[in-house]
Amino acid sequence: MNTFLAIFRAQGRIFLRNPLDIFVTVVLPLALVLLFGFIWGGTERPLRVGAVLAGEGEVFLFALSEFPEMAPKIYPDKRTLAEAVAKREVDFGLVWNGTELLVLLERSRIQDNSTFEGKARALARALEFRLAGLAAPLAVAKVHVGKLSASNWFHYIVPGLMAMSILQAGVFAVAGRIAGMRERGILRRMLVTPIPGWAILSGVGLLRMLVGFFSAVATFFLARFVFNVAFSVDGLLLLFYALAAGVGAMGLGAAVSLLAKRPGSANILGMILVQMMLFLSGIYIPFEFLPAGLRFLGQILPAYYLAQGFRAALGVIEGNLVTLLAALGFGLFGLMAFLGFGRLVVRPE
Amino acid sequence: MKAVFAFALAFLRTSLREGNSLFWLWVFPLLLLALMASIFGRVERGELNLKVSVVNLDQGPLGLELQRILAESSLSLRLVPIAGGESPQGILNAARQAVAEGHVHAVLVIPFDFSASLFQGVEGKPARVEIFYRRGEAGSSAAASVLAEYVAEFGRVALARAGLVKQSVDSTVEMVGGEARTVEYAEFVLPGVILMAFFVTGIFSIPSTVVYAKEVGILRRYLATPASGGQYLLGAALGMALMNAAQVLSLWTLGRFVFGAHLTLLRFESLAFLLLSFATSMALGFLISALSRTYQGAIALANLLNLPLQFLGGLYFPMTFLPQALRILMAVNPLTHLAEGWRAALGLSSSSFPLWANLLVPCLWVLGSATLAAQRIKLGEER
Repeated sequence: MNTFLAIFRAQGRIFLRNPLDIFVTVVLPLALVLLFGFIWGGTERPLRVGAVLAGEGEVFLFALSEFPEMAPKIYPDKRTLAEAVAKREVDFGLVWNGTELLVLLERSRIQDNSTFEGKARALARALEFRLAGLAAPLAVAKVHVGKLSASNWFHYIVPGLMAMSILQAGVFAVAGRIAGMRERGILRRMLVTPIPGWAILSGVGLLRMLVGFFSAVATFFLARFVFNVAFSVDGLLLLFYALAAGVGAMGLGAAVSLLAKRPGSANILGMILVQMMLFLSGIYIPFEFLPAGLRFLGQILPAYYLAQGFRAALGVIEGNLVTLLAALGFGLFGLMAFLGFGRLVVRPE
Repeated sequence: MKAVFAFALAFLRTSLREGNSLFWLWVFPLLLLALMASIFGRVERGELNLKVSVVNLDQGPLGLELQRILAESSLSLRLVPIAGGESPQGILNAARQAVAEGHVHAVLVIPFDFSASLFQGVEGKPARVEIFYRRGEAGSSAAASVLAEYVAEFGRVALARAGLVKQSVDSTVEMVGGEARTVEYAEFVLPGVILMAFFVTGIFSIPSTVVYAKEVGILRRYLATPASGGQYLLGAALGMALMNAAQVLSLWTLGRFVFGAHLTLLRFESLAFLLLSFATSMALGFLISALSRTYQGAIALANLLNLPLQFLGGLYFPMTFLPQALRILMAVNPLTHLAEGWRAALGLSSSSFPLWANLLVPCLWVLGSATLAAQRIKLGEER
């Protein structure tokens, strides 16, 4: 136990003296939360719509008033409006001549243009009804049935980032730190002393896991207090998913270390794995957007279930048994891999 | 000159032999382009995997017709049945649960009186249709929007068929900005990924060439040979230029032959922006080296700048919904101007900044970085 504590303290000192390590594991995730928070975390602004009115202007403005999400700005002619759309001074443009609606879209706004087209179609319908002196025959009410009053995509990103902080710290604890110690010959020197292998492995692993937990907690508080993102936290469930992520990731790191034959490869393999999990687990990119093959790949990676688990624990989505069992399975795999491969990982170069 | 080539070759070989550089500088840009183009290309084509359900409580013909139209839609919606619930309330509860638990993205509820009340809407009381969804969740929100569009259009067609709509309003779309052609997402993102590759190569390789090489004594050994510091730096610059050229070639080939991106890079303005991008990336690498005392500090600084500058530079998506503070950062970010200027030169879009600004901002970064680097970076041993 004393040797474990000594290694744990030594690792803590090494971590605190290494600005790059602190930066990558703590500061960088927080900087990303700040960046994404500013991009996606704010209240939704109205769409800026430029309009040229060449006839029946009153009908147009009356119809447009049915869409509070659109803030109109009137332009004198089509050329000026087209320039404003091209320079993104407005989101899209509408030219109304009393009978037809011309929609001006900026060519490179590929992701937004379908939304803008939809808005223009809705306005065209409203114009038809106005011109006929009718009201819209159907009222569509969108009813949110989620668990929490989630407001935007940032709500879904934060739990994913928390899961990734722990996963990343766990994978690199073994695949990066222990493998690095082995490659630099530090492990060999330590193993000729009476220090047992388990003390080295758990000392390094626990310290890194705590760093991951700290990063996840800091992410949570940053989102909560800087961007006012409200969560309904189930502490016990959160602890379960955090432990499953930490232990599982360290086991994964141990497996990766064993697979790597050449010096430095463990770190690279770990990095590829972490990048794959970031892209394919629905943390940054919504899962439905992925092609079938990548979705399948995403679903066999633990990050998908852990991100869902963290979301459930923070009250963003309903939890389900599959997520719970997958996280439990990953945690158990990690424990077994850690115990089974640990001895093989902690070996001289 | 021979020494310069030897250093350039060493730079290239090191980048291929060292695992981290091999992944981040050679493999990752290709991986990123493949992922972004395949994922967002699908989104662009509307090929989303959205599961929706319809709960039709209406016994009249219009409810059935709406349900039929949705079932026959070839869009990204896949109609799935909802299990459970015998009574209408039970079915509604099961529908809510299915959405809340994520089994379906959205559910359209057609009410009892849908057929009867559709035409009453003309007198001012519209028929109310509900869509259950999860707010904020991208897939669910997209499914709800598509369903809402179907329902609204169904209402319009019903009124038109009844002869109540006097004048049809056609909406036509005209694209503005850039050249008169359709821009695919792969074409939009390809210049962004190339810029990312240049930028990452510059900010990570130059500190490694200058700070790391000095820190571990490699530079001392090089400079003990007849080669000069200038030749060493020139060699590194040539090596980086060769690497950037290879990156452009490989990314363009992947974009062209796998994702069908048609970009004519060999235009004068395009080449000018490529050259400016190379110079800016190198200058930023030298700036980081000049500001860092240790290699670890340099890498920390490079990491700090890396993702924020890439995202704020609009390399992957046009940045249009930013708050004022971030807009200022965006305007001084050299990557913003390189991306905007280069895309405009390629005819993909019009730049929201004038051409002079797109040239001036990166040039100022190059000049400022070069001046600072010349003052602070000493390749020889410091006493």
